[in-house]
Amino acid sequence: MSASANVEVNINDCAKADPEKLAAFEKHVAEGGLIEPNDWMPEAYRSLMLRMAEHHANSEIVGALPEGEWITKAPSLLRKLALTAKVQDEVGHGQMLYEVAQDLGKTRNAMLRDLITGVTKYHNCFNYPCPTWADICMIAWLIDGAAILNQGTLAHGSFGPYIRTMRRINMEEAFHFKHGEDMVLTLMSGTDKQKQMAQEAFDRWWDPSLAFFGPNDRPDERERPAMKWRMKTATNDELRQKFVNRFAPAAMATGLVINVCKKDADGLVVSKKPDPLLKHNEETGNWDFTQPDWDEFIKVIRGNGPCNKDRLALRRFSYEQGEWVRRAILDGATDAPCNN
Amino acid sequence: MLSKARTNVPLATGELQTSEVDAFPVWEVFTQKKEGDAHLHAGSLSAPDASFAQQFAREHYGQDQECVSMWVGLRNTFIAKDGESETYEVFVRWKAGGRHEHVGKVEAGNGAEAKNKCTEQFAREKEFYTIWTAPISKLTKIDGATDMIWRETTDQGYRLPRGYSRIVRQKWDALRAEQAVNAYQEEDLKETF
Amino acid sequence: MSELNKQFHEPLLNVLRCVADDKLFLGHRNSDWTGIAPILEADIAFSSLAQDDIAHASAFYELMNTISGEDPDQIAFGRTADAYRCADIVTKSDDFNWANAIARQFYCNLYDYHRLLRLSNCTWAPLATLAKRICAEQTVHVDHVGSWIDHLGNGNDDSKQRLQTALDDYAPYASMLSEKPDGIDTLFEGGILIDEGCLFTQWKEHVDTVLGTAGMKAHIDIPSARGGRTGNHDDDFALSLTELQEVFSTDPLAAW
Repeated sequence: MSASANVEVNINDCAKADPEKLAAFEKHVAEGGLIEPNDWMPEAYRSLMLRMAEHHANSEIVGALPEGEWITKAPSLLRKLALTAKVQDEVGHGQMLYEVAQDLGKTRNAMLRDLITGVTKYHNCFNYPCPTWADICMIAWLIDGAAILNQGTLAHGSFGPYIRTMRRINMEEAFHFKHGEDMVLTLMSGTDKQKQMAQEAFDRWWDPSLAFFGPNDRPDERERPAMKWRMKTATNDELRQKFVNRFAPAAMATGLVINVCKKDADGLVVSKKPDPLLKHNEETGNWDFTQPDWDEFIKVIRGNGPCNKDRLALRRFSYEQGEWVRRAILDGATDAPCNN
Repeated sequence: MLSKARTNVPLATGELQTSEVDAFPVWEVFTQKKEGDAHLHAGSLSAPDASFAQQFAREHYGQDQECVSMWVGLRNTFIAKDGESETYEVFVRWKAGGRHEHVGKVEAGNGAEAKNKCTEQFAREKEFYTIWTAPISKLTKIDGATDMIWRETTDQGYRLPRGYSRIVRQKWDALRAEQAVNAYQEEDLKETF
Repeated sequence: MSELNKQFHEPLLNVLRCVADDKLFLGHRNSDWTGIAPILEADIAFSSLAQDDIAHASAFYELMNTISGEDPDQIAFGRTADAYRCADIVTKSDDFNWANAIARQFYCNLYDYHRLLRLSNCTWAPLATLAKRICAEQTVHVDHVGSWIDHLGNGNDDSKQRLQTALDDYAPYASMLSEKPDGIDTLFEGGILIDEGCLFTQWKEHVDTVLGTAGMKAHIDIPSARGGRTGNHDDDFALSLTELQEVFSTDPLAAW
């Protein structure tokens, strides 16, 4: 499960750049050209790309926590193996993305310390609870499905190291998604109790999946640096619509009902009704749907979601408990080459 | 029930209790998918020394996809510099966005000379983006034939999409068939009453 | 030999139970570190090894299935505590302390390696083949954990002390790995397994050699009491089992 950043940068930073170089850079990028770390780039591009990779990396390693809780409880040998591998992939994605960000000028330690002291953010959707096994199934299907759609477009971005990482990540997300689909289908073909578990988890995760793509587009979305410089190649609303078009009919085909839900402070559903707007719109060819609860989204982003504190506390605990290990193996490092 | 590791985590905020440990050096990792293929740059990682770099590379980049051989070298090694005359492995990134690909070996007195020789021998007619050179003695090479990398003992399908394709298709078919039967029975009942 | 005489079924199943349950629960405990280990790279590596262990357990349960016909998931998840045959070191809590995790991993990985070497000489071909293949992967584990012992043991005063304490804490549990599984003598007498002398001694020598180069020591004695191998488990095992079965036990007959 992973997520891209909706990071903002001040376009005025570009004013500092050499106008001729900037023009050549923008022309190169507009024509589909790619940028490698040693190429000239405006400072604003470097800092925006760094923050995007850092936010993405943060999201991966925090994203590993809610699912990590269920590894030891996975109900079959296959599920246990697959869930461990999936969470491991997320740590691996985080590791690769921190390397990308590090090469843009911030050390991994600095990034980890900023993350656990709340200076930098991670993706919002990991601040929701996973009270049952079915939540794990829904995350793998919906959130990883959303991530694939999103990262598919990010892989067409302009920064070489980031798009190479996206390609690798997407290969692994394909397994996460397929495994998620398998788990959801298994529950929906199972006992009544399993179907009920699945529906309740679906109710918890549909809204965060819609909100996954970030806030609604602004009128000048395409003029903003992230899109102008092709770090992002699709808008949030475009991706969200694509997601609903694909997942709404699929969910219904499994027997799931798409509800609009009200949740309490713990992120648990207190009331629900079938989405009144949900229908296939013959005119647009798209599925109409009710937007996620944006007020709640903003509340969670500001750090007041159901699980923000727990997630950061565990990350922080892990970082602090690991300090002696990092120090020891650096002290115990040898210069001897291994095999030859 | 949460595992012991994840329960009773203190809800600490504010200043960190620990000081920062120096960053580990960065290593570049190349993998070869099957014999005869070129080694391709797989990615980088941070590790305190060559021994851990090799261990970490094997368990990360070596398990992402099937691979039969793996080379690991300190990033610093790939930057052309003065050195003793020796054999260099050379890697070319043909265009921006691509991965560095191993093209061959050259004998050279230093990294810069290796780069020039590589341009002459391997990229004469072709455009390329960047070249990396690394003295052979500075690379750790893991050969999957003698030193296991990719695990084949047990089915690795659980961590690959293809491991689920067939079963997912079967479950969809069964689910749709069941729903069709239900719909049919409902229709049937309607007619009866 | 690919046919197995019926009189050896239960003894062999019991030996396989010991091997597979050790692997399952070691992987179970180690997989819990995924996402929270001290270094991202180490996290990924440790998780790979945990997956290997669970996959190996799975392969042994499948082999048991060819003898008993019982479903591998039912064997892995569906027993009562006293029917599991792992040594309790595999589930001894590491209290989220990396030195503990490494000490536990070290004792178990080396023991598994030597046990698998011996099983590779089994005269019942399906087991010999499987053990040989898994043993090849086990060398990766021995190698990996060796790097940790080397670096922590040769790290700094703090890490030396932490590792030595962990090795000492786990030593009494480590010795219980070599409790003899019921029925193994029947397999020796029947020529199914080859008695190659004292496994404990061989393992202990290997342990001492690796620790010696890292300036560490282990005080392991031949086990005196009977524990996990007879199904007599401690509280940490009970906790681990509850976790393992939490979802499965809500409906043991459902597909998950």
